[in-house]
Amino acid sequence: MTSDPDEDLVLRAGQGDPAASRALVSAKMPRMMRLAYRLLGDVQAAEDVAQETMLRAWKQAPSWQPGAAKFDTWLHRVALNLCYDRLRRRREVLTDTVPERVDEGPAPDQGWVDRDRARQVEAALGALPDRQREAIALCHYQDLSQAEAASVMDVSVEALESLLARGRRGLRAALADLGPERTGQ
Amino acid sequence: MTVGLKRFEQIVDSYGVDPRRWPPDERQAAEVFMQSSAEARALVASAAELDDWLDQALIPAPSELAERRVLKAAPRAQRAFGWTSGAGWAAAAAAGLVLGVSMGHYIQATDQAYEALDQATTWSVDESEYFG
Repeated sequence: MTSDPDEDLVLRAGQGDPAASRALVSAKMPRMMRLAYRLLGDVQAAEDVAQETMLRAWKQAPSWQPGAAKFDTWLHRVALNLCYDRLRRRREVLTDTVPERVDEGPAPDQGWVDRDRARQVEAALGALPDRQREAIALCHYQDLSQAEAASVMDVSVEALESLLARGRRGLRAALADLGPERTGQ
Repeated sequence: MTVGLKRFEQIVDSYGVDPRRWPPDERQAAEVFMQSSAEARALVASAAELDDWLDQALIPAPSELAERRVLKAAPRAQRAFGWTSGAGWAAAAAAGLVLGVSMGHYIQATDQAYEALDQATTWSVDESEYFG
């Protein structure tokens, strides 16, 4: 059995320890928001998902059974399911609104360059198939291990690896034309 | 475990160039292979650009309001001033006493009211008999 670094905090939060609750919110809510944002591409929707995920954690904490699953993995699964629900509801809208723009204008200052690059990466990520984006979000942005990410996605490690490889190939193709801008030339 | 060029390429293609993201059971072998292979190092140099790109994506953070809302809903402990403390028992006893006295007054008042009602009913019956 793998030890769970969050076990003590979860048990204390479940017993009503405010310091443990605060620590969990500080550690997990931004993390869940990052995951939701990667999948939904919408800050407000991501915040709603992060909030709902934490509220479900509060319901679970008083009866949390150590050893069954890591708390962080469980949280990821809850957040992912909430994202799936939202994606199902607004799949068409989401694909229509993904920005796909390269600034052809005069060289802007560094802040704008950074913001534009970020938007381009967002657009490329948003254009990936859901499962590929999900695999990259879990492994690259959330730093889950292969086993954890595969478990959260309910696929084998081999399938996860394939999704990652295809996702990264897609991103490379989408971002290939942006090389010179990246270096500020 | 050993890692050859083909497997190394698959690892970098899937997980990128940071060894911390590589499969734990192959990480050490892959790092050893990278040190010994110029081709492996070229693969890493080529894949590094994508990792750089990915790291430039926005990282949104929850608002303070949302965090406050979540904290407000967090599980609460039983208050220290509760049933287990002496003060709690004293407060409960005092509350019981007040309730008991109030109930006593209530019962007494209710009894008096029923008595009055009985009398009134009797009088009304008498009156009906009288006028009937």
